[in-house]
Amino acid sequence: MPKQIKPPASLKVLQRDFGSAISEPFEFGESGAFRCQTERYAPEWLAQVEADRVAVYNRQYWFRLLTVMQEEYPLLEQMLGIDAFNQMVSAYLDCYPPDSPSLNDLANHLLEFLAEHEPWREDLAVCQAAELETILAGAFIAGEEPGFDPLALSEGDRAAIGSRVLRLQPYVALFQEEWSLYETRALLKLAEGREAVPSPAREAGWWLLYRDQSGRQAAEALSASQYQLLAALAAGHPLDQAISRVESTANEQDRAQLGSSIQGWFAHWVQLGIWTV
Amino acid sequence: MAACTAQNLGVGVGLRIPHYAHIFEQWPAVDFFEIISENFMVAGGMPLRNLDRILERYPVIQHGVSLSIASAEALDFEYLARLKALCARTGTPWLSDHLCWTRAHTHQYHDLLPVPYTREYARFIAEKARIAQDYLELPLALENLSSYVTFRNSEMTEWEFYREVVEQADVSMMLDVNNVFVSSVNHGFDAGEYLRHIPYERVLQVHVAGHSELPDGLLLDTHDNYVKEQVWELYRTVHARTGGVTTVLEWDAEFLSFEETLAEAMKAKEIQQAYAETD
Repeated sequence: MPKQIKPPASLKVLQRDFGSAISEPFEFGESGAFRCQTERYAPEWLAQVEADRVAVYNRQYWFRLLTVMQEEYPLLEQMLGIDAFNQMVSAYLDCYPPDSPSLNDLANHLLEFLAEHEPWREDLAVCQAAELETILAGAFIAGEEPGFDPLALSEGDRAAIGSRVLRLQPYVALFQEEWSLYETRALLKLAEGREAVPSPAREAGWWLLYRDQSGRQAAEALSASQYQLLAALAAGHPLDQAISRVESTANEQDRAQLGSSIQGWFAHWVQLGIWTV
Repeated sequence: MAACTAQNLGVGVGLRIPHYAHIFEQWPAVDFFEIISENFMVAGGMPLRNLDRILERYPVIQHGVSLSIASAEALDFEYLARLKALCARTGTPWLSDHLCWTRAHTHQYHDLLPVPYTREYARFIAEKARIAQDYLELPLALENLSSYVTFRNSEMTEWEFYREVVEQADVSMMLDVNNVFVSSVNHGFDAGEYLRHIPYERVLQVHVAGHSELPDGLLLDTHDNYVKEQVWELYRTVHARTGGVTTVLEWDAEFLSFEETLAEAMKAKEIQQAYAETD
């Protein structure tokens, strides 16, 4: 790296103070409305000693970040309500200020934050909704690795496929829910007004989240056994071991059909393009 | 007239998500698109698929928002490496970003923040800009900001500072005439005076855009409106000084249809053609 000159000390101090002023969280009133805390601005470095001028940057900072989070987390916003959502995001970003040049990384610590802080850590539905939307946001811009096609394997490799560790593509994820979160979110994305969409119902579900051939987000509902198999593979278990895990928890009737079921599942998943070598 | 030595690529618009459907169906005649680099500095997915479709038919010019050239922090070479990789993908003829800071310590503010106009800061920022341009191996054009505060310890005017930085760094200018106008109103200076002091041989590109006005008269650089006539007047001044330079209409919110947006951008071409007819 080329050697860079030392920054002026006064510039460091100014940017620290200015940055601190414009990232000051809003104060949220009882109604949920917020105001800039302009009395906290340090105007000694300003030629125009007008707190309102700094308030412009303060508002821009928070409105930009709140808008990004509202767009990425519409389900979470619906479940919390807009005011509580904004307060949660404000608390989150005060705890974990943005540290990446990309706004795509804004929610990198959100799940950690919710799991560590009241009242959200007690609300499993909220935490699962955040998990779902974080997965979807990540999958949208994830990379792509060479695809895996078992039909392209040599006869020898195909015979040994049971010992193979299959990996999911970076844009594929599994999701387990205890409320109808995925379907509620899908309705929210289509609805004109969010009030028309009922809150998620208590209902267990398992989902395969991926990108389709055209690059769009897609999802398939999974059975508990399918989820269990995919989860075992995603955890790095070779195929034979993953199948054994599913068989060991299946009842006798299901176990008899499992072999042909798994063949069908795999044929379908290969078509979806969810594996990489 | 100080002739602009840069190639004039015509008039383009910012590439924005609400316009994708129209673009991919109609493939409208546009000289080029300007992209925000950071929107495409991702590992994969629809952003890059869409970009590749655009690149099949249109030239693309890159414009960034996170270079943070005026930050006291050192240049972020991890960011620069990813930016350089994107430049190779797009084939952009140059790269622009703002004469501002966006981060301090580890905190990214995702806003374009001003600095005091001092000789010491100009020297420091120019050195960083020179290093960045050398690394990127592409012309780097720095854009003037819209700003809402000025600082007690400024030693010179904004245009003197802007000129000092680009000349010391030997980089180019991305002259935003809407920003000149917004800042002139907000800080009470003469926009014409600003434009009289620009080294036009360094102007690679011009931005035009709309702005908003607060009840107290402060102007905000919102890019959500038609270009005001006073800004077009400044654009005519710049055109007269340059003889024609690559121009982009920025429109980033309260979107119109693509056709309406392009029609607004084409006012720049009409101005250029009007001058050509009188020459």
